[in-house]
Amino acid sequence: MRSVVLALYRAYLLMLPPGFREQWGDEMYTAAVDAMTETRTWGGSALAALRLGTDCARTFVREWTESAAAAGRRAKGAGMGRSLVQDIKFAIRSFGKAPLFAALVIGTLGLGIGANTAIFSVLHAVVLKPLPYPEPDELVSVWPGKLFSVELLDAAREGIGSFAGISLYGGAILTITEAGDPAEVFGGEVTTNHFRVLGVRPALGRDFVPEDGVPGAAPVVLLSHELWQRRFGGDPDVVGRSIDLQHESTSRRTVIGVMPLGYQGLLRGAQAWVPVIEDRASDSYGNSSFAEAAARLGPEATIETARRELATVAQRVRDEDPGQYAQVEIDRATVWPLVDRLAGSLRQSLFTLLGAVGLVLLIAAANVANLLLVRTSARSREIAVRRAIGAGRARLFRQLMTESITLGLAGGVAGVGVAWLTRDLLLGAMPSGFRVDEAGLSPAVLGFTLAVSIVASLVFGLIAAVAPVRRASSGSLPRSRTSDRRRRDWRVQGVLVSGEVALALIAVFSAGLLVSSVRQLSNVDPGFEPESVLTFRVTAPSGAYPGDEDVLRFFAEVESALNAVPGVDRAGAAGRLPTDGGVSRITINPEGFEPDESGALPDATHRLVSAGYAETVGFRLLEGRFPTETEFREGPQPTFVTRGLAERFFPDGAIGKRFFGSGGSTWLTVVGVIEDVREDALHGTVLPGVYIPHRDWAWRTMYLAVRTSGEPTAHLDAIEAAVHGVAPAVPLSRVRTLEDIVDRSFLETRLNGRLFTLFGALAVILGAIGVYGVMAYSMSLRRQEFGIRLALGARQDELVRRAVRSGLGPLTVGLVAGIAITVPVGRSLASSLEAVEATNSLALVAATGILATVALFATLLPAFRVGRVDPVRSLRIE
Amino acid sequence: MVQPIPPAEFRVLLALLDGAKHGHAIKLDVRERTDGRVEMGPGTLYGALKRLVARGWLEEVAPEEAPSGTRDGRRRYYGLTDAGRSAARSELGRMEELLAIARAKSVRGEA
Repeated sequence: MRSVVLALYRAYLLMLPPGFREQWGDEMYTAAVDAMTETRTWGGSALAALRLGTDCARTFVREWTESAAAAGRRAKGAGMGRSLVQDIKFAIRSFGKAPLFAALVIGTLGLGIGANTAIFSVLHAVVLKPLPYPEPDELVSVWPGKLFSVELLDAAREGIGSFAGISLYGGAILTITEAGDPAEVFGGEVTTNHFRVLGVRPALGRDFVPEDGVPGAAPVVLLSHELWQRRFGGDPDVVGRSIDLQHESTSRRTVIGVMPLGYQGLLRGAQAWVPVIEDRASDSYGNSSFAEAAARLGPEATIETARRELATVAQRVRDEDPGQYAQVEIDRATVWPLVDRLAGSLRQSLFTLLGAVGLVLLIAAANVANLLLVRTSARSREIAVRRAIGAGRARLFRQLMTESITLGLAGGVAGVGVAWLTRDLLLGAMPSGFRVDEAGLSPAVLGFTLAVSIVASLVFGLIAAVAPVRRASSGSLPRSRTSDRRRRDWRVQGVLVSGEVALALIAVFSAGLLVSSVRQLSNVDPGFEPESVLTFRVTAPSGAYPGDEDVLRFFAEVESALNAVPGVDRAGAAGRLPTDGGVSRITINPEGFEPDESGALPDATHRLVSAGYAETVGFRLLEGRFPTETEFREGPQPTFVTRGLAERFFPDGAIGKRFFGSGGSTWLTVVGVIEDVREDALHGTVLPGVYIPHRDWAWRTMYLAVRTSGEPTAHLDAIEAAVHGVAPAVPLSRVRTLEDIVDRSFLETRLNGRLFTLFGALAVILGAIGVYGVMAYSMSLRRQEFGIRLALGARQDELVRRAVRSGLGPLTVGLVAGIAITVPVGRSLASSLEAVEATNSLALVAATGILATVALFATLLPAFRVGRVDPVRSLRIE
Repeated sequence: MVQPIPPAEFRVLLALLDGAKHGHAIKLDVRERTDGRVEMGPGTLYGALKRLVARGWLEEVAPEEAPSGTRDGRRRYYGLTDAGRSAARSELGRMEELLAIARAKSVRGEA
C-alpha cells in the first residue's frame, strides 16, 4: 500500500502550481515518505494515507487559489493562475448552457461519490479512527486459544515481556435501585489495572487499585459520566457514598469515581464498572471462564514478538495441566490490534461494501468519460479553432481538465448531499454496539470525498481529454471528420463500454449472491416456533435471593407465577435466547468417544434452561422425552441434545448415553433428542446443541420466554405484574418478541443484501446509460456514411443489422471479461457469506441475462433510428 | 488592527522560536508539543513555510545555525527573521488580550 500511496503522491505533486512545486515539491515528497513509514500497523498506514489525502485536497485548493490571486495581481498577462480562473469561469458558463448534460454528469457522480462517502463515514468511525486512548497503536487484543481465566492471565503476565500491561474486560449486568426506579444497567467487569493499561483516568475520584480486586475487598464501582448525571444529577458528593447497586451476589457498592464525559468503555454503552475479584484460592480458580484481554505493547515490542511469546505461554500451560487446558487451541492463539477486535465482523462487511461502492463509482466515472467524449467531439470545431488561433496543446489540455475537475467537485458536493440525506437510513440499519454512532461528515470524511472527487475527475478527465487534444494538434481546421479519427474515438469508447459492462456484471452478480443468501437464511427452519412468544430478561435480586439455591427458587417462582397468568400458555427461562447473538460454546466429552489424532474435543453450543423452556419456544422432540420438573430440580443431571449432536456422537442411539461438558461438574445423561435448532442465525451450518438444567450453573440473570394466546405484547402488563408479585423491585429489561429477535438476527446479511441490490441496480442503470450514449454517438457519427449507403441503394434493414452488429462487439467483450472476473470474485464473496455456494451459476446466468437484455435495448434504440435516416438530409449535414 | 496569523503558520513560528529547524523537525516539534493531537501534513507545512518566507518572517539558513542535535546536511533549514520574531510576539500579545477578556467574563458568568 505504501508504494501505491507514494506513487499517487508523486502524481499529485505534478498537479500543484509549478512555482510552488519546484520550490517545495521534493521536501513535501520526503515528508510524505516519513509520514507513511512511521506507522507500525496496517490501520496506521491507512490513517496516514487518509491524512495525506486530506492534506493534499486542502493544499491543492489553497495553493491554486493563492497562485491565481497572485497572478491576477501581477498583470493582465496570461499567467497560469489567471488562465485557471478563466477556465473555471468558462467551464461553469458552458455547463450552464448544457444544463441536461451537467445534471446528468453531476447526478451520476453524486450517486457514486455519495455512496462512497456514506460507507466510508461508517468505516472511518468503526475501523480507521484511532481508539480514543493515548498511543492507540500500542493497544492489542489477546486470544490465548481459550477464554481467559485469572490463571491464564497470571501466566500471560509472567510469560509475555512484550506487554507493558495486560488486563481483562467483560460485560456485566447490574441492577441499580438507588435514586429512582429500579433499572438494569449494562456495565463492565474489569481487572483493576484495566484503565491504567488503556490510559484513561476517572474525571472525578480515583481509579481502581490492586486492593479492590483481592478476595474480601470492599465492593466498589466507577460510574459513567452519563449515569452519574442521569441518576445522581451530577452530584460530586456521590463519590465515597455506598449505593444500592446489585451485581452477582453483592447488593451495595461504594462509588469511588466517575469516568470522563462520553466514556463508554471497550464494550460500547457501559455505564458502570466493577473490579474482577482475582481469587486464586477459590475452587473456580483457573476455571472461571472470563472475558477478553486488552494489553498495551511495551516500547520495544511489536505484535509479532507478543505473538511468539503468547504461543510459548499457551503451549506451556497446556503441557503443564493437560486436563484443564486440553481445549487450548494453540494455533489459534493470537495477538492483534484492539481496534480490529472491537470492529469485529463489521470490519469485513464494511470493506466489502466499500468495494461495491467503489465499483459503482468506477462505472460512474467511465460513464462520465463517455459523456465527455461525446461532448468534446461535438466541440471538435471549437477546439480546432482555438488551436488555430494559437492555444498551446498544454493550454487546451488544461482547459479540458479544469472542466472535468469542476464537474468532479460539483459531483462531490452532490455526493455529500446524498450521504447526508441517507445517513439516518444507513446508520439505523447498522448493528449497534460498535462506534457506528460516531459516523458523520467529519473533516476526515469530507477530505476523503474531496480526494475521491478529484481522483475520479482525473480518471474520466484524462480519458476524455487525451483524444481530442491529440486530434487538435494536427493543426489544420478539419473540413470534414475523416473516418480514421472516428475509429480512434470509437475504439476508446468501445473499451469504456466493455469495461462498464464487465464492472456492472460483477456488481449485479454480487448483489444476486447476497440476495440469495438472505433468502436462504430466512427460509431455513429455525427448529422452534417464534410466533406468539414474548421474551425479557430479569436478574434475581441478591438481597432476597443470595445463594445459588435461592436463585433457582426465584426463577421457579417466577415461572409458576407466569404460568398462572390468564392468556399465558407456558413460560420458561434460558441463559440466552435463540438467534439473539453470540453462542456459548462448550467442549463435550462423550463417554466412550474416541477423539481423532489432533486430540481436540468436539464443540457444541450450550444453553442453561428451565423445565418449561423447551415447550415454550416449541422445540420439536424427535426421540425420548424432555426432562421432568423433578429431574430439573434434583438427582442426576438430565439433558436433551439436537439431532446433529446425537447423529455425530451417538450413531447407535443417544438416549441413555452420558457425556461430560467442559466447566460442568457431573455427567449429563441424554433423555431426549430434538430437531436441530438455529441458536446462531448467521451460521449456515447448524451447530450441535446441548440443553442443560439451570441448576448446573445457576446463572443469576436469565431470559424468560412466555408463549401467549394472541398478540404477545398485549399481555405485557399482566406478565410484569406477575413478576413483581414475586419480587417487587425487579426490572424487566430487553422486552422483545421472539419473532423480532429472529428478524433482527438476519439484519446484517439483509442490510448487505439490500445495499448490494441498490448498488447493483445503480450499476445496471449507469451501464445502460453508458452503452446507449456510445451507440447513439457512434450512430450519429456514421449518419453520413449511412446516408451515402442508402443513396447508393443499400437496404434499410441491412443497415440496421450492421449498426447492431457494431454495437454488439464491445458488449460481448464486456460480458465475457465480466464473467471471467466474476468467477473468482464470487468465490471470495461466497466464502464470507452463509448459505451460499461458491459458484452460484444461477446468479451468474441471471446477472448476465439482465445485463445483456438492458444493454441490448440500449444498443437497439439508436440503431433503429439509423433505419429512418433521410439520405438527403444526412448528406447535407457537413 | 493587525491581521491574526493563521493557526498552522503560528505553530510554525512557535516551533522556530528556540532555533532554526528543517521541515521534518518542525513537524515533530508541533506533534510533540500537542501530545500528537496536531499532525501537519506536507502540504499544510510547506504551504505555511512558503507564505512565511514570502512575508519575510522566515529565511532559509545554513545548517550550521541550527541546534547541533538536529543537523542533517541533506535538509533545508529555516530560521525566524527579526520581523518574524516580532510578528510572533505581537500575535501572542493579541491572544493574551483575548484570553484576559474571556477569563474575566467566565469568572463572572460561572459564579
